[in-house]
Amino acid sequence: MFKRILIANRGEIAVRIIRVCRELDIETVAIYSEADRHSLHVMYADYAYLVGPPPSGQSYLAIDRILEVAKESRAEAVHPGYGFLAENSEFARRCQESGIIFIGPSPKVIDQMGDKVKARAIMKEAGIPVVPGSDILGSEEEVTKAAQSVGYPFMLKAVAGGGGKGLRMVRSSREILSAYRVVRSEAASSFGDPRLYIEKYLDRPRHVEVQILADNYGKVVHLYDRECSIQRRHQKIIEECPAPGLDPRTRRHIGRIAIQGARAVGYVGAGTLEFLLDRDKNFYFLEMNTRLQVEHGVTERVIGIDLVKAQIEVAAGGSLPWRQRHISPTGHAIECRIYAEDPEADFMPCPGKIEGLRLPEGLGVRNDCGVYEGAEVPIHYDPMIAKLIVWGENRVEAILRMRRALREYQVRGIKTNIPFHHWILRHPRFMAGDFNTGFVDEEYRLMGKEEHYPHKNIALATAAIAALQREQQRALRLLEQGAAEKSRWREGGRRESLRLISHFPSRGWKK
Amino acid sequence: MAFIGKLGEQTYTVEIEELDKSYYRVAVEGAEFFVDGERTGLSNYSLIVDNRSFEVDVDISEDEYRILVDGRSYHIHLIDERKMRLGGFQSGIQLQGRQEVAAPMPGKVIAVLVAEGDRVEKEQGLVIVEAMKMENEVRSPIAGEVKEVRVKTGAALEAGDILVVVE
Repeated sequence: MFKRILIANRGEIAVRIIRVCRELDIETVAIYSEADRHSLHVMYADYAYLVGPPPSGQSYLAIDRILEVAKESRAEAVHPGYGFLAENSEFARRCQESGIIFIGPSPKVIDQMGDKVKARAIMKEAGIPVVPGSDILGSEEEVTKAAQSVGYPFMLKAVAGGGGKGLRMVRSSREILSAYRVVRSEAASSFGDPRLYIEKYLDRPRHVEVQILADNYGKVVHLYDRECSIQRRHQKIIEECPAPGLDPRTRRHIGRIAIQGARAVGYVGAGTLEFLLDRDKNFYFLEMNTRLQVEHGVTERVIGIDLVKAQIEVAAGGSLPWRQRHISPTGHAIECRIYAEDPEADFMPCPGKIEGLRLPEGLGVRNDCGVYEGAEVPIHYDPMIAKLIVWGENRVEAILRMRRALREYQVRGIKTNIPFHHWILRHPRFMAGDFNTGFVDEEYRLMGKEEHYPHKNIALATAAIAALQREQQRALRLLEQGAAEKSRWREGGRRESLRLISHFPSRGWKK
Repeated sequence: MAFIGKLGEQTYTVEIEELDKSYYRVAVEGAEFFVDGERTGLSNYSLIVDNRSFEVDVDISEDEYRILVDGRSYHIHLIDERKMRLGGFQSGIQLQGRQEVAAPMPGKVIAVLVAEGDRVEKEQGLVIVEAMKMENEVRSPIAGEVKEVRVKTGAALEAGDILVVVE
């Protein structure tokens, strides 16, 4: 087993990895940017190295500097978490060359699966259903031509895309030009690879994925499925395990298919195969994520296997101790991703200081939280600050428990998407499990019109209290100024102020 | 004091009197109740009304109060009754004339969508700004003509930097 691991990440996932390392008696090396000196992962780790200025290109993505730290700290392995360098084959290769173990699959597999067109071809070859689509397309004309065989609407996608970036839906030939330009520039700036392809657009499919684990000795198991259809702008918000949209037959089938896919690429470690599930319960391979997923926690809770521990053990040369028939789901888990963003201002990111934080607790509640009271959410990184995961004996209990936990969750000083989660968790379609990837777009427009105010009087009273206190503070300021200089105007203001700040006004109350 | 609060389509008269420290008599449209309203943080209150306990978040900008109770958000436009008598309700202030469109938060300019002299519609995208890894479109507050474009693609932004002037 390793003695020391470097964690090439920040935030909640770095904390998550540090926790399991502690349990395995492995020392941890954190890296941090100048903006993260006060971050939780820096305090939890055994060692911490400054890698650069705040922009991630100069810190969490600075491969040379990170490898330098790995050598200097004598870390034997690097865990990349998710995002940043997690699916960067160059980083994986450079680790290998430096004699450091990259906790993840080989650079070759990362490359193959990172190239969405190549990944589709490999999966198709292995007999796995894929969404109809095209090869790499070099111009708008080629897109137009390919569109004729694929049909409208279709998705224009970056070959190197992922994480909800570098894709657009195209409904008609008129939209090709603008979509082509936008996706191409996004692909070039975000992934450094402007190549595009198209894929048939499935009408409101569900997003279902299968977690797999593989070791170096040819053993592959699946850890069942997750539903991630609750998305906004292709970013997942709520995930569940197991997926409510699958019947037992489809569940067994999709698990077997996922193992087949993992074998086809010679996968090692923890990975996820994403599928789209159409209304007739046909599923199509979408892509494979060659890393730990944000939503791995729901699987851990229901399956009872620590995925990060498994990743580390596989990377250290261990073999998987489980047989497929020993792995089965118990109950139901749901995850809500907590973002520092304002759901009422078009989900604008909301960085700043967390003035107060109270996390939910109690039976069946897990917090994977990267922040603390007094911490600053920097502007430079992803606005996801925490994950709330609950478990219930069944889906209904999990939903009720999640609602309860969200009620306890208090974040002060910055805005979060917690009210948005409340709204989803009480939505009849969510409760019925009747949703797809279009859910948020279809339903959220209507939310503003939700003219239902169960606590109208409480809200009005609080607003009035806050307004009264504002008046009192204003009055106090006037009073202080008034002490310095006197004039008739000020006198008038003072008299008014005295009236306002008195607790027992003689004539404040109107009948 | 008395306030006029607008919530949704309805307008309410809210009277409030502080009877004792953090203890208030409140009347909404004349219906009276007593509120033990402890301030528990910069923007937070713990309310006990008829022995029912509520945690409430308050976010104030100008006369707009965003109140969060039990996972629901209440947008209340609240003004002093005296002000009301003077100026009346300005429902949904109409922006007019020269508008300086500023960056809502620090970030980077990804694309400038308009040029000086362009006619723009209200809500039309002006500039795409990247902040916290997300791309956001900054839209025009009014219909009008683009008078100035003060930023270029790739420029770093501080919150409040003027991006575009529309008139």
